[in-house]
Amino acid sequence: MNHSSEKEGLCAVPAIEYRNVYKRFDRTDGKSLRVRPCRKGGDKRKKQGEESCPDAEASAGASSAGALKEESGFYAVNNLSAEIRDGELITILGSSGCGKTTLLKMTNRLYEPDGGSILLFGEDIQKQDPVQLRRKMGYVIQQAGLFPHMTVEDNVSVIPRLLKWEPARCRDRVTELLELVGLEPDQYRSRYPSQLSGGQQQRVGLARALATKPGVMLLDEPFGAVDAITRLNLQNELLRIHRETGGTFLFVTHDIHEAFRLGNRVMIMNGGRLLQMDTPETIVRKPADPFVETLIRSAMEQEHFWNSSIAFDRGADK
Amino acid sequence: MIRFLTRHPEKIYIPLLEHIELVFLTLIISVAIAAVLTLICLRNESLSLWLQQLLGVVYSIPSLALFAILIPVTGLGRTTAVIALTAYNQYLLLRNFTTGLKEVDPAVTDAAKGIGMTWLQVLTKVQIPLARRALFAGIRLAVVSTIGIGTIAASINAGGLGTLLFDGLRTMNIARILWGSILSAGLAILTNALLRAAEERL
Amino acid sequence: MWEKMLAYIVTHRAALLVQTGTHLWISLAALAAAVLIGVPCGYLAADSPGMEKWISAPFHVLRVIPSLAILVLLIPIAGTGALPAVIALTILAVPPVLLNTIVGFRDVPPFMTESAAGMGMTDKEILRKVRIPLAMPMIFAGIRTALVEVIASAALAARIGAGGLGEVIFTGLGLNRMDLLLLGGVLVAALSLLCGGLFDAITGILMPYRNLARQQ
Repeated sequence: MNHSSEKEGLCAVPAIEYRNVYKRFDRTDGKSLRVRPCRKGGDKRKKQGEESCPDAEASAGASSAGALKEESGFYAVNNLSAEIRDGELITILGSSGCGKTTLLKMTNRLYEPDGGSILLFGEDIQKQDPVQLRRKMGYVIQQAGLFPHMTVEDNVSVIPRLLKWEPARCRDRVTELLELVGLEPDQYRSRYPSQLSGGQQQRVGLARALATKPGVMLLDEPFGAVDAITRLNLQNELLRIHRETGGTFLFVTHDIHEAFRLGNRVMIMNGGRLLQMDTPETIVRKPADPFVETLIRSAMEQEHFWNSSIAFDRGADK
Repeated sequence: MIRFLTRHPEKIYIPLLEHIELVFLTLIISVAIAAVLTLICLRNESLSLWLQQLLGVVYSIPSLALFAILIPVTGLGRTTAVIALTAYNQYLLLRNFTTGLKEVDPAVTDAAKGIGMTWLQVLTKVQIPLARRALFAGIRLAVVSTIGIGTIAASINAGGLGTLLFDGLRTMNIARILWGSILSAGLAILTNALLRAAEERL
Repeated sequence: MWEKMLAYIVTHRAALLVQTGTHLWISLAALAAAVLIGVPCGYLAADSPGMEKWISAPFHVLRVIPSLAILVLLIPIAGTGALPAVIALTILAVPPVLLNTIVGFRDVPPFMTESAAGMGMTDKEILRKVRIPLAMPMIFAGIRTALVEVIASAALAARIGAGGLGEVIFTGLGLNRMDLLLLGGVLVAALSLLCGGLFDAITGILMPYRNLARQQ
């Protein structure tokens, strides 16, 4: 895992870099069919509607945009470029359908971009085997996706076991991880997901994603399905985990308070485009777009209702 | 085979009519009993579980066996068949009725209760209309099941299309075997399809 | 009547044992064949929407046809005896197994397989560790239905010369002997319930996660 976050400088390789990324869907509801992990070098099985893996790096925008018919689809991600530095916690904010989940899923090649390229620590992800790529990243989804037929221990250690780690090493790692996410190991390791609350399930989901010490963590609205109080706890835990592990975290959310509270920098998306990417304070002071401005204003009005005399201070929470 | 039809048409249409009559009679009794049982089960959850388990056990008894067990008590003939068939149908009907009624959106039933409808009114004006498809599906399953098991009832002198099958078997008469199979299969398929279509329109 | 029954059991215990054995082996053979056919076909059909329609439609129809009709219909084609009975019973047992397998695989939530893919599992690993275990409860339910169906139809198959406990019932019918009827009926019922119970126990051991409640 890269600890280059200490030496922040313009010469450090960004953890993730998006260059003119495009993604188009044919159906207007934006739904893609069941995802399949691609084989090395491209997917020979082309099923109806499924995205195939491009064999070569697609040049910036030109190849796909011209060939597709504009009327029958829409761009979920439209010419997006951004750089994410190692060790940052980036929140991606936008309403439903703005493309944030699509962007996340292109980062671990669950979706394939139609144009542009994505680099992980300087290497084009298209050139890597998708399965190996995903094993280098952690992936957490809103429903937790814990396998109901496995205990917590088996769930957390599922990738290590597939990588043929020795049982003792797996066990120790599970203990370590459960402690990290705030669950008493001996109490929880033999339980089944159906015996856990929503918040506990999400913690296990986090533990599972961190099992192989990935340098990059992808989180897709992980706290969307839990109640507000649990969510607050989990947010604090996430900040602590990020501090302790030092990795790069990409966190998708539609909640502006969550995005501004957690993110070192926030990416605001709408309609597939990146509107602004800055620290929360900068965005509040200098919104780059009318949409961003409206967003800030509505959030501020809510804050105003609760507490008009105390300024919003991020420092106090850390 | 056509010769059999032209020479002895009564040997075909009488079993057919007997079968339809058997199914009809059984269904009416079954649905009536199931309706009462469902009402009771809706009020009392533990009784419901116990009853469904009991009926499940009965359902897994092979029909020939159940007939055989009942005969010393109720004799040969249609009565025994109707009793056994009704017992089997209770499992199907009760399960589908209770599930169908329970799966009506609780928000709607709560709203009905909230505006002051009695339990019975909620049931008749809200739950049953909203669950009508599931209820009808249960009845359809029971009908098809009765048609199927009804063929076996011929072996205990209850009449029906099974007589063609058993007689044909006894005398190795292909014509009877074919007519018996085709009619019973056809009746089942046709009834299922018709009831399915009706279900869609509900 | 009870004395007659007991006398029968004593004098015919060898024959009864043979009949029980026959009943069991034709049932289990048919069930095994149905699983070997139904599960792979169901899995293939579940993965391909086009194939699924073509495959499940005839089996839905097959399910509706009375079992006696199928048993008897096969006689002109396959003759009488144990083997034709096994064939007929297999035909009867495949629909629940196949249809339940299809539903079992289709019911695996897409986010589950997506989460597995996102973690870096290959297709084969996802099938082995996620899809199959999650489809198992449904598949086993289908096998259980088939089991009950097969044992019931095996009783009928005695009529086409396959042997089995149905012979006792049919003998009782033919000779108008209530004791034989009761004996046969009880034995077949007991066999069905025992096998069902055994199957449920095995399912409970293999898949303990199915019915767990929330602990705090």
